[in-house]
Amino acid sequence: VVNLTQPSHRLEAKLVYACGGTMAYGSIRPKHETAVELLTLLAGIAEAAHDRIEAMLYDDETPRWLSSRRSRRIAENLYHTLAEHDPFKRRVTPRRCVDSLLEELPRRSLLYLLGDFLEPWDLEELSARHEVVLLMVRDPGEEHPNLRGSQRILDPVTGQTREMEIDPTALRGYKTERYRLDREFSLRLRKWGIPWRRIGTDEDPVDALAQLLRREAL
Amino acid sequence: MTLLHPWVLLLLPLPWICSRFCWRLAPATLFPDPELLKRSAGHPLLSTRLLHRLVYALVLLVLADPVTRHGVTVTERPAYRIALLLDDSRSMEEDQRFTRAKAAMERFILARPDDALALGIFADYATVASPLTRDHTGLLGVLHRLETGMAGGRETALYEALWRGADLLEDERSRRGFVVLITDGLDTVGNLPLSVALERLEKRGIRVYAVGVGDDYRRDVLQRIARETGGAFYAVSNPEALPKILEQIDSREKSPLEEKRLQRYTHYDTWPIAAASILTLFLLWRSRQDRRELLRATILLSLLGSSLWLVPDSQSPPPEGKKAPPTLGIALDLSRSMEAKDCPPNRLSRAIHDTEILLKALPPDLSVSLLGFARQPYLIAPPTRDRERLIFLLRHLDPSAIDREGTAYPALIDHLIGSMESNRSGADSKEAALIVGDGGEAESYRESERKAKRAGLRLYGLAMATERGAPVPTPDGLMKDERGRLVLSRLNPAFVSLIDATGGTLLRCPTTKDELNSFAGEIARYLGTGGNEIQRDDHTRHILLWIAVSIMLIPATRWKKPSLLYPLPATRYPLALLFLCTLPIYAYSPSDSWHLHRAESAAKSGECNASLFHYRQIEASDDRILYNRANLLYRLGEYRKAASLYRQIEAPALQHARYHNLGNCMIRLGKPATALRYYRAALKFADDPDTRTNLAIAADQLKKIQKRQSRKALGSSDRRPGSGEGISEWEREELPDETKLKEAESMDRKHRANLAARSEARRSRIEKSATDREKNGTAGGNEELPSVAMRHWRKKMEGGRLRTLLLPIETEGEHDVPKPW
Repeated sequence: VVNLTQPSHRLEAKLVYACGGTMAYGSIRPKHETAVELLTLLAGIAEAAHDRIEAMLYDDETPRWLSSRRSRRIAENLYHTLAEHDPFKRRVTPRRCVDSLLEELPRRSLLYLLGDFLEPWDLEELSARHEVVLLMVRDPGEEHPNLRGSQRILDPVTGQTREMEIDPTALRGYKTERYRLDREFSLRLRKWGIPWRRIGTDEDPVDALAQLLRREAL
Repeated sequence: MTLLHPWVLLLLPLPWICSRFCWRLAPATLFPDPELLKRSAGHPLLSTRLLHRLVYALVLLVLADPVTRHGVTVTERPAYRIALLLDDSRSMEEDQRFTRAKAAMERFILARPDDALALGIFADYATVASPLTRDHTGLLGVLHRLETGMAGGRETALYEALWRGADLLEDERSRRGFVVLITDGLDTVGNLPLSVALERLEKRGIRVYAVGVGDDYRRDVLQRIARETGGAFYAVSNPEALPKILEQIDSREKSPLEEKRLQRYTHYDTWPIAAASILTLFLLWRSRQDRRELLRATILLSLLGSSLWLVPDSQSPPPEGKKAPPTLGIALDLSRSMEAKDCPPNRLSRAIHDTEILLKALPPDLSVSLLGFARQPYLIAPPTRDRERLIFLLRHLDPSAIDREGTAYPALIDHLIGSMESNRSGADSKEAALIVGDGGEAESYRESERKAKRAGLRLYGLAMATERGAPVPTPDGLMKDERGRLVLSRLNPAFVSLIDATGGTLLRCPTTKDELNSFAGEIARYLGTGGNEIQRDDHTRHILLWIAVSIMLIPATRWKKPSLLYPLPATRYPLALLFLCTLPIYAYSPSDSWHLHRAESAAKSGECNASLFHYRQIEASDDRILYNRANLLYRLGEYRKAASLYRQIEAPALQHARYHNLGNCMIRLGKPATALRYYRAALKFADDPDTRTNLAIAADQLKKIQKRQSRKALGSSDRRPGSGEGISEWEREELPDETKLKEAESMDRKHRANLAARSEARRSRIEKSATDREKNGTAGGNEELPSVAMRHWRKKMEGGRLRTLLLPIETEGEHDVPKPW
């Protein structure tokens, strides 16, 4: 992973998974499932290349490092740990996550940041201190929701339900707003020089990852 | 403006209750960014949720039925039933009496467009020319075809005519039926005593207006007929004065206009439902990209539409102009070939028998005209609902007097088309005719087929022949052709194709009554009669709307998909269920029907006061409700009030019960003499053993009172009143007080005076009838005319020598359409 992306430096690779409650959603399959596959793949690649790699499962309450630097079979361990993890009712505050990373990673590292990034993150400082690659896991249902009428909506972050009236106007407004936020975020990422890739739950994670790594290697 | 069902508005918070308490019944939908979704919603006033709630509220408003009440006075003139009896003897030809009488009758018929009229003629025998009918064109057609000598011509069966006149009318105790008799002679047949005919007329409450023409009639007989039946006698020496006399009768027997006060509602449910429809259309437009929404909205609007517009509104004014009732023409083949015996006993007898069954099976509101045909068509009866008279005419059908060689199917169909077109009630009305016969001899009826199809006349057939065929008996043996070979008459295939081509059904020589009944049902269904129509009122209309709303609340799609009208996925099923649960409350909400239901159930459970309360709440006045109220008052011991209600009842079906119960009230009120009168009146309507028993009890009571009265008269001289000596305690309690006794005495005196007057009248009648008998040289008819004697006369009259009139229908050529009746 390191040689492919930054062959001139021997950087340590860090996998950071921002696992909020929203990762529990998925109209085709949960975003969490896709994220777990991606993380396992990355870990597997690093393990095969004898690269040093660490993974961090982040939420506001209990951010934790999942593997030690010298651990073998890191991919397998990571997979088991993440598969058993339930993201429901977990919150990720972008600012806190960034601060935590800045504090815990004093040395320059290659940072693979995974999450759905439904709200834009401020990664300017982080990109200045680390090599950041962003993997945005998204579901088609959250970009084009198939909802009509009065609905009882369950918030995956708070675990609370609320009655909502979803009429075509509201849907149109939501789609416009979502597009605007994503567009703004992508422009900022470009500005900060952060390579990123949107990976949908309807996509094959291996293909998506291969495309990303090939592009970065070039 | 008021709401007929204001409690329906209590259902307004139902969706809120459902959304508050029914959440747990359905799973919630997980969505990652509800905050953004909420921020994106439009203006709260235009939110779909609010609009849906508004639609729901409007529908509830419709169900609450906003109305304004108006008091309406309706005037109507009750219709009469009139029998016209015309002397058909040859003597009526003198001074053109018959022609002038016909002209006068025609004017009379035209002057009474709302009444039902019947026509009878008499000479050697009395016969029915037309049963009671409202088809005045048909009746005039019959009248025009009448000639002297059609019922014999040499004699005058005057008394028999009166008997038949009574038959022509219904029970006329409501004083709405009378007979107009025009004769120029005296009864010369003598097959029936006058007293018997008069008794029959009196029993049925039929008045006779006797018009004597010329100088040969017996004035005293006609005067007596008029006097005893409550009619009038008119002597006409010059037949030209006949129209004036009939005008007098016409003006005398005009019923006054009756005023009825009705409560009428004006409903305003169209406005809220229109608003609900517009809002629904707006919602539909907003969600136009969703096909499911489109489908749901279409279902919603069609349900609303069907509830409001397809269900007729009982309060809406009736359509302008009277719609003529459906008519069925039945044509009976009378040709010689109908003597063949392949449909035992023979085709004609079988045809008459089967037609009788059909007439009984056809719905009573269907008017039926009867035709016969052989070489030419004949009119037997114009359209009428009087099945009994039609059956009577069928039974006395004697085709021997007509030319029976050949069958004029084309002429018959031309006539049927002509008459149907004159009777046609509207562009969309259905016309049908039934032909009972063997199909004639023609090889093809294509021209008739074409005409019937073009006129929209559907022909039904009752085939009275088999494919195998049978020889035709003639007076000279079996029918043979020119070469001397035996002729076999078979069912004509052209007849079968004629029936098929017009869309009708052919029933071949039916063997069971069920076959004929179902055949009659099929005809009735086609003509749209026979109680298939359900009388719906506004309440029913709203109940249907209620069900429609309940259906709308249940979505047609999967569990997670929302419905349009009230798209709460978690609450729609409970909401629909709760809404539907309130339907029985609505159905029995405090309307007339609810009160009636409550009153009936309370009466059944013996809660008389409660039942009476509910009966009093019912706004509509009906004889049966009055009767039930009176019964309840009787059970509560309020006999005077009960009697006053019983006296208001006019329905003929309740007359026996009314008089019987009035008698019971009078017994309870200690008026046995009055009770006796009521029981006797009740017995006139029905021979009920209970009434007879009560009559005997009343007579006993009356005797007891009389006895006590005489005892008291004796006691007053011998003993001190109230000493009780010689009278047991309970007897003393039973003794009426002074005023009651005085009442009883005066009643008794009146009763005795009545009895004496009636016996005197009876005696004079017997004497007069005896004189009549002596003068006429007839026998029979005793003074009391008990029911046994009446049965005897009835039997004799039924088996008389009368014949049904077969009035020829003129046809100018095979393809010419004859004039309608």
